[in-house]
Amino acid sequence: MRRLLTILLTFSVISCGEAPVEPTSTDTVQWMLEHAPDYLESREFRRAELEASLWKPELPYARKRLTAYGLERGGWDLLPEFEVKVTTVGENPTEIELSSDVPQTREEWLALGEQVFWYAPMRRDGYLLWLSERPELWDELGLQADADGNIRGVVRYTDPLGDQRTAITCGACHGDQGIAGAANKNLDLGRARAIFGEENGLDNTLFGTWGPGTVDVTDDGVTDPLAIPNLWNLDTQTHINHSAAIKLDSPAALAIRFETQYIEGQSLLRRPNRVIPWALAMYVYSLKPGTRPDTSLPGHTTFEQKCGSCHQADKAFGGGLIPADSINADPLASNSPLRGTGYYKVPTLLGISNSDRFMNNAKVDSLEDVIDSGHPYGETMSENDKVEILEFLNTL
Amino acid sequence: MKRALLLAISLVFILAACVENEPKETGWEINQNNQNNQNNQNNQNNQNNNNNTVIVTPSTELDGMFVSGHLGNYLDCPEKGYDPNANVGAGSAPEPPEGEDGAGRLAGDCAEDGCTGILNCEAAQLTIRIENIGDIQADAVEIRSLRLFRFDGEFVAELPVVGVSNAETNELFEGDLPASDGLMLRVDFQGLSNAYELLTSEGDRGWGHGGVLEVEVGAENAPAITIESPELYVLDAVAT
Ligand code: HEC
Ligand code: HEC
Repeated sequence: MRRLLTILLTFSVISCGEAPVEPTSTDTVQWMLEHAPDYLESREFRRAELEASLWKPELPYARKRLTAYGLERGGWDLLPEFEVKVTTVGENPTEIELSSDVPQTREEWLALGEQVFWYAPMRRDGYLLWLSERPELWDELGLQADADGNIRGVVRYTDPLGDQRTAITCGACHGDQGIAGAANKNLDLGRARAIFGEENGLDNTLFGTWGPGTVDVTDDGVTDPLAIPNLWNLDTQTHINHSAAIKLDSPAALAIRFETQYIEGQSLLRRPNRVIPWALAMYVYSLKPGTRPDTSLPGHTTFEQKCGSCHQADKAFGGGLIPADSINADPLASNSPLRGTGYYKVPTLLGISNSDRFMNNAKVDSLEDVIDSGHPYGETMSENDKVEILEFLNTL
Repeated sequence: MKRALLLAISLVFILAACVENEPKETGWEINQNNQNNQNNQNNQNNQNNNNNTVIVTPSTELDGMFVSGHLGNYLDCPEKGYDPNANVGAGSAPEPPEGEDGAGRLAGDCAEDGCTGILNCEAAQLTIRIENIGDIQADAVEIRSLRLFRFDGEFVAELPVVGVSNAETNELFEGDLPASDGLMLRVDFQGLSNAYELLTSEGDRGWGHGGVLEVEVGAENAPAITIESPELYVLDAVAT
């Protein structure tokens, strides 16, 4: 009896349209290499992957995409493409143009993805131009100059209407010291906006409260800045974003997130050639931290006992979702009307030894304070356990 | 027997599941179909096939679909947005689409330069695709109206059109659309100066909703069509 039902259910899944393709290979980059044609050529594939990734379809973030992406008729798929042709900003402006020819090898895909990461304009902002002309402010705002004396992660380009724009790229927020994937925990774009406001007679004081290493990514009437995350070992993650609004059902979900992000960044006037987000997702999946967990330390065993149920070793010391109110964390982002799911993702701890700002709002200053500030098991832990765990955490 | 019953129940379940999984009605309906033209085409077929002498007047028919758009962002420049309440007392209608000056003009300036230096000041805009599926050129194709509704269906305002251009070349759209041709049009318009206040209803958790636009496209020699957008939003001040 049960078997009959199972067969029928299987049948129903197949008959209801394309089910998202599950990654079969453990090597995500390889999987993406094999499925590039699906993403580039099949609207049905993209649509199925989009739907599978938006597990809270009622959220505005999801509704926006569900009503516009991968439609049979109309929608964002019809937008003209934009060319990635930019000039770096600083002492040695250099022109960079990315090809949208389909790369053939893994190396070519990753090389393109790397270029996209540093140079493709994700989002233009008026104050960036102003900022780019004031190098004396860069340091205090956490903007970094690269080896050529140009601002890392800021580019100029001509927008679809012919206007000169200054835009930010992934590298500004996720490329600390030129290391792709490392969160820039000193970047203070909120303060940049506040200073810009002061000089231009705008009241931007609210932005000034974000704090370094955070960006308020939602226009929801609530100031809920979120920590810029590291992008390590994403292939171990089931969801992305602090509130886990996107499910990584397959790697295509990440490419779709980037593609739609670029479309919004272009004010919904253009879309990138799909080679761009696919290469970027592949590249982001390839990013690994430079650190190596020292599992020979006694603190590793203690960590496994006390913390391992949530921060799982096989998920880069991160894990699944937990109800936001079950943990002592800033609840604002989990309630955001735009992206809040009521949950928080248990974040990966890879790379935390390089950080001094923790939790989703980046307002906790040390690992010790994380443990002491009401984090699970923290308060009941012996002093010795704590010392050992901290020693282990500092190898992550 | 039991088995058959289970089978039946399962099938119902499957059907229900399929209905559920059916992609949501994401589209935008063309509310008015030109029945006449279909007839004409049929007549024409008859003519061709049967060597009949039915006389047909060549006609034109528009088809259109929504592509993308947003309601702008006038947080730091409310004076450049459109405020329906400001017009109520004065009894003045919104500027006609071709209006040379007035409110619409300001949003246009905003798109050109005034806005680029300000944080939250973005002119509203949308892109549609229009096709002429008739057999002669459509003349004087134009945006007749942009009507904004709240997500719950309540009418909010008719928004002034600032300009219409070819979305790919940025050239001003002159209004001619040859037979069997299609075109992507960008419509610059004036968004609400206070969209958040006017689009959000009580119990909506705030900020969670946008508005739906009905774009009426007309031509001198074709029946007007209405393209409905999905829910559109204010352009995010920060996007990542
Ligand atoms: C202005 C800074 C900024 C820029 C630029 C930026 N991000 Fe992010 N990124 C963030 C913040 C903040 C979050 C957390 C958002 C959330 O939790 O909702 C985030 C989240 C992410 C995540 C989810 C990580 C996880 O484990 O949850 C990925 C992946 C990501 N960004 C990749 C990128 C890529 C690729 C680009 C370039 C297209 C980019 N970001 C541009 C700030 C930025
Ligand atoms: C019940 C599940 C759970 C347990 C058990 C748990 N954590 Fe966490 N941890 C979380 C969640 C969820 C967050 C993210 C909170 C947020 O978003 O602000 C987190 C965040 C952290 C962070 C900050 C990460 C960052 O990038 O900002 C550290 C460090 C951390 N945990 C260490 C530990 C240690 C050490 C233990 C064991 C003593 C532990 N956690 C036990 C769920 C857990």
